[in-house]
Amino acid sequence: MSHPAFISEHHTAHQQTDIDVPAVEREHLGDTDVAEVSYWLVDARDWAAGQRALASIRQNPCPHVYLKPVVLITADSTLPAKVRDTADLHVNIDGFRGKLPDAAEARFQSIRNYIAGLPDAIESSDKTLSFRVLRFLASRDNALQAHMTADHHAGFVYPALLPFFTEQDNSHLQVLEFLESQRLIRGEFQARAHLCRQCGCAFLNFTEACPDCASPNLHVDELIHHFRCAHTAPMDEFRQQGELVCPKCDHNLQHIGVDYDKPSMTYQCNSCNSRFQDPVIVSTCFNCGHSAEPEQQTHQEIKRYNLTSIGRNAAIYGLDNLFTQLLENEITLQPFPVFRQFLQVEVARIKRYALSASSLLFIDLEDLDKLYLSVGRRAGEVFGELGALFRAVLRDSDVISSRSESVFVILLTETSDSAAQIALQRLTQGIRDLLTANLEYDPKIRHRIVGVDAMLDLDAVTEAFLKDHAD
Amino acid sequence: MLIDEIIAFLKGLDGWSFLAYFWPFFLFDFTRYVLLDLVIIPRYLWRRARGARRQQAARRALFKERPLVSVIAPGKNEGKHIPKLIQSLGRQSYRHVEIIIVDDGSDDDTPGICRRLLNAGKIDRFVRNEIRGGKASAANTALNYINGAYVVHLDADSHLAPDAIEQILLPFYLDSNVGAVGGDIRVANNLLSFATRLQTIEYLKALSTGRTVNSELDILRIIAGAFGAFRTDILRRLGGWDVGPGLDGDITVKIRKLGYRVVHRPEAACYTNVPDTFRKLAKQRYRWDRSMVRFRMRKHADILTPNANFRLSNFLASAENIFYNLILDAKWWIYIVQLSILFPRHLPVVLVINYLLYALSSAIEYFVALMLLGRSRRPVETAMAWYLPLAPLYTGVYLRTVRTFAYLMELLHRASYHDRWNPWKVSSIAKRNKL
Ligand SMILES: [Zn+2]
Ligand SMILES: [Zn+2]
Ligand SMILES: [Zn+2]
Repeated sequence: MSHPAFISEHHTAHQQTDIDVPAVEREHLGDTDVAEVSYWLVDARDWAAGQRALASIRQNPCPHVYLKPVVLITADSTLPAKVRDTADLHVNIDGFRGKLPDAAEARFQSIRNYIAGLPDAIESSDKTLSFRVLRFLASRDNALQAHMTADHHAGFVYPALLPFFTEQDNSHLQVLEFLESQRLIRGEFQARAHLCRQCGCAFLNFTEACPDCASPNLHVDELIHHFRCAHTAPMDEFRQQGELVCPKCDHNLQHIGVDYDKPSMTYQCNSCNSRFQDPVIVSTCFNCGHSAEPEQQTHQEIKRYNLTSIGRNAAIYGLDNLFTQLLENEITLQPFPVFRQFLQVEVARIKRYALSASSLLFIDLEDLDKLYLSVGRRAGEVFGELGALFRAVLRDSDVISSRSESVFVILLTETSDSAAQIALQRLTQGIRDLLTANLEYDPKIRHRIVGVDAMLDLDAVTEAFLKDHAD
Repeated sequence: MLIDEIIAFLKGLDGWSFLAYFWPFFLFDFTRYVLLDLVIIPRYLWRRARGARRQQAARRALFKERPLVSVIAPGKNEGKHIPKLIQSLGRQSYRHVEIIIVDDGSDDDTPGICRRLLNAGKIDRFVRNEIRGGKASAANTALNYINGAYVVHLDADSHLAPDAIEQILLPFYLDSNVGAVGGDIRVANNLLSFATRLQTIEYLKALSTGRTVNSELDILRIIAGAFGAFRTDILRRLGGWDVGPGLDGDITVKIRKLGYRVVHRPEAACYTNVPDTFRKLAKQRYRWDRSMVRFRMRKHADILTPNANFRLSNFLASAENIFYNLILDAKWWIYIVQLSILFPRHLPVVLVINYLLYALSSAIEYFVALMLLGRSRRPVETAMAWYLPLAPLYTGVYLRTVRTFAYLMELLHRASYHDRWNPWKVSSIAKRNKL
């Protein structure tokens, strides 16, 4: 029988409520039979404590813990969005007796069904953050919305993702960009923001300034056109003891549209006295003080995210095909069964013409998703260049396939062991040059060269190579 | 034959009867135009040649002082012309200029064109008035944004010869009492049509020569809005331009009234596009001619009457204009009536002789103008000589008809107050206040 569970820091918290549910101390989440918990209750009346409790749920590697719905208990019905949307639901302590609204109950049930449907739900410990975020998005099947906030440097956050991260910085945005670059989620336009070109801060002060001396100390006035004498000058020059009198012809101005009108605005700089109609707009960063015209700042598109069908699939079965997607723009990645057939043909050929030799090359680019996080939004470019590198080193007759996101197996036809060494050397050197020179990132590259002969068992050598990685 | 008839007719005339038959030509047009041209222009050229040192000194003074010159080009829907104008401003020998474009409520892509030029640093200020206020108000708007000691007013659909700014500034350094200088307006689209060819001849005679003669006689009464230079302090004193049409003539008179000299500078060449059909030309002239009545006879009638500010040259400038245009316009109709009543038999012969006389004087005026233009003359202008035989038809019949009609309309109906040239609100105010 499933039941809700109270997450608390110590036993006192839930004793102050009348809600009769079992309590779990957040330090002891692992000791609980988490599969039996229907949703988590978090006392958010003290928001700092509530935040800690929420973080301990979302940062737990077990899908039964971090994917479960979380209900905030509050004393305040008007929670700020950034608090409210960090959890799945919030209820007021006064009215709540353990019964959820029907709509919420249905929503929670579908989340529980999703968790139950995961093939490895209990044993799995979803260690990578990007994977946990992906699963979280898949379990809540609605668009992830950005919220404007003044608490965050970038001006926008995705509140539901914040509890996944220990640092409340840009990490969650980088994870989303990573998932989008892998086509696991799709971003669509939600809003646009000007960010400081220097530091990425969203808080810019927009001021009008003099086009000649850049001073923001401006006086703005309306031009007046007096019909009868054609005099056209700032309104200030017409003011006389509370009346408008034309300084050219001394007539009183009576009615706008009848004897005068106001054709335009005019600015005068109080610093250099120059007069102009269009001031320049200057944006200054509140964070680092950098000033620039708005067009010169970063124009960021703020997106709302939906899962793609690849993403939905990957959320259940794992992230096996990420970098490969990008690599495929440059070279043709053969599905592994197809690769196996190619290899069989090659083995037969070599058997018949004993003179030629071919090689099998395994390459593992470890920590590819860490690399992504460190290069941020430039990952697409970097991976594109990696793809180009593969293409440059390999020949058209070579066949390439992948065994996971980062493990590649390449059949180098008509290539002896020593020639394969050279190709490998060029490939790894190229990758290193690209990543260390441009990003100061030292990639971990594992590799192995296997000669192709009649005795070759592709599945066995592949398993062996992958297994070495696990060690 | 007509020629024999003409010769026979002329042989039978003595001096006095010749005058009786052709008095309008000899009493007025020949003396006022041909004779004056033949006296004044050679004198001007001779003095210019002799005064080369003075000119050099003025030029040195100008380039030493290097005053900032504010070039203003107000107008509506002129965006398409602005790039060419800016180009000709970029090639000037005198470079210390700021360029201010005023968009008087354009409803085409003028603002876009001008903002691009502004962003590219090709112009210094772009001012847009959302509500159209008319030409005077647009020019006066520009005055709020200028920093120069001199203002050069340009029509956007014109462009300048490379030394035009320098040339139009020199008179200020030749005589400190000069308050405004008119540039020499020439036709840019000479070869576009028959109408523009005839206007080329007309501009050479009436503007290049005519205004130089008036300037030499100190009776110059108009500084063309297409290209005129003004001392900024004087413009400020006057509060800028008054409601048009005819605002160019109007401000010239006002500057004269302040006691300043107003001169024409034939060496400062500005090329402008003229109407390319006779229909469009008639509309333009109808507007111009009516303003003569309005400004000379109504608004500045005080010049004609003796008062404390009376100056003879101002009186002459206005009186000459009224006399030669308005009064003498009537003389033609009197002449025609006179001929048909007194010498109905000789009417065709007299008219043909008149035509020849006017064609001849047209040719003289034209060649005097070519002489005046000197080095700045272009081959197309010389080539217009072939069209001289048609000049009397153009000036004597076409332009005269338009002018007569315009005068009548203005005198009888004050038609210019209904002109679409000004926004209707401005026109109605002007009419109510008899401006
Ligand atoms: Zn900044
Ligand atoms: Zn300034
Ligand atoms: Zn006024």
